[in-house]
Amino acid sequence: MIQFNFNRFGKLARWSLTNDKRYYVKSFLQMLVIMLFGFLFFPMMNSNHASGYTMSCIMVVAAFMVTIVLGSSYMFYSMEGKHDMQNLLMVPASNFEKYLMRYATWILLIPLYLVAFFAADLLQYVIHWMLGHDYATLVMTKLADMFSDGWNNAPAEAKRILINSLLVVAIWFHSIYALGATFFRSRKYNWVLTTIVIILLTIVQGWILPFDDPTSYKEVTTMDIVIADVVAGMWVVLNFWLSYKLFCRTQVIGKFVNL
Amino acid sequence: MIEVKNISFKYAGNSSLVFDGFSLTLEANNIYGLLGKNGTGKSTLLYLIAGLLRPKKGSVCFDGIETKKRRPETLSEIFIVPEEFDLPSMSLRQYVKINAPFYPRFSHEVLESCLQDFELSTDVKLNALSMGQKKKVFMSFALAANTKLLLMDEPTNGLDIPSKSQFRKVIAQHMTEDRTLIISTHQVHDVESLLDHILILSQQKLLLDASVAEISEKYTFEYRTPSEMDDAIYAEPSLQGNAVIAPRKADSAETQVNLELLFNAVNEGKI
Repeated sequence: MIQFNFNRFGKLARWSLTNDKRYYVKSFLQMLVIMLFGFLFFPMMNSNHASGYTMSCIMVVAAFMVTIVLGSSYMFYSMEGKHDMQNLLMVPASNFEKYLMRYATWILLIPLYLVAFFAADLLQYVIHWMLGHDYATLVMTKLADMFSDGWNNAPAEAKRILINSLLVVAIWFHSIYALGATFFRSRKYNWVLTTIVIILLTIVQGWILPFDDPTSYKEVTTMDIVIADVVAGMWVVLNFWLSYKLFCRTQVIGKFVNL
Repeated sequence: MIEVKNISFKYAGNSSLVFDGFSLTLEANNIYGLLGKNGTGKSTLLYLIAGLLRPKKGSVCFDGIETKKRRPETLSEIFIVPEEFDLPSMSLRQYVKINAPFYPRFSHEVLESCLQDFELSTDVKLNALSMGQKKKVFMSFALAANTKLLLMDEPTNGLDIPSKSQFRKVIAQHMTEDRTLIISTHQVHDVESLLDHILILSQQKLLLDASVAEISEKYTFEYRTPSEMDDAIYAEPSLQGNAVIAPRKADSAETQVNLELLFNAVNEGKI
């Protein structure tokens, strides 16, 4: 039985945010430093400064994509060992409320990473300007140009299929990592173990059902997209349901997996 | 209140069962002493009662609800003080502010009184405390939470000598009638005077499940000379003579239970 109460969830949110404050500050500072380093390094080390900024843009997109796809595996990152898990499991809130709050970790990281991106961008601009680099520009403007160029040059049908595929694949992987986060007991490295499992399963699937030549986007019908979306959607729901059930079964002492 | 029914439990990767078909019933308004040799499953039993571990078979129910379900209404009535624990890096005030709202009967007065008895103030940083002080703070919070069930695993470990008597005083003062306390310990002398009921665990079974009143009524605990040993059930040599457990005669006064002696007698199968 799923229990949810807004008042209790509010108390749990306050409990979690207070306990995880240091983790969020640390994550923000880490992202700020990494981005600032990248934004300074790529344009300076590249003789073509413009392509250096393009690399910075790729780094930003990659960082956000990784956070979105792998984000669900960060559920227990802020917790250190058995005692933190013990504290969480004993808090008088329902399993569903606790799961939801742990899952929300990555959602809370996204705005922090956005602030870190803007701050790092402004800082790199100021530093480049102070060093007398006349090529100094803002990564965010380059990023906007990159997106608008890509968007304007792609055929309309391809855009529709590409966005749909990207979203479905990202959400599907995200749900697999959510399942891995509660299946594997390793709080820090569950994403590594999940990635290994995905690679192994892909190899196995390749043996059983060899992949044919890729279909051109022109041959994909709306019905194909709908069917793919429905199947992926059901699979995503199943993954999250299993992930939640495994969280409900979590014990404070155990070996590699929660079963 | 607590019903442990026919449970089997083993740790992952371990072939031997810690419990196999184990059952136990605990009533409200008692202070239980859970005793046993190392590795007999005392802490495991506390974790199973708290719902932190799940039995492979059987059930552990608190007021009719299985604790493994970890329902909020059950968790708000159970508090566990494990032997080892971590407190977050924050002030006690902040800790209380985020934790107390989960416990409907939380008492700030009890918290302050316990801290005072332990010679601690409410203005402390939890990460600046020693392990013994952390334990006192955590036990104070546990008592102030006013849960129906309080579980303590080796509560006097890490406490200095004065703190052990402070612990007894604090427990005796704040154990209200509707509460149940289960203390798992090796330090029997530290809690001897507090207990209402003794549970002695051995490998997979309960060797003794009796109230202190029943034990005192049945047995006498005293020191005797070698010439007075005729009716002794169990005896151990000591500096004051032989420490003896003997059947109590109907007309003799009840004696204080010597928990260490009782534990050894039970483990040797004399009682």
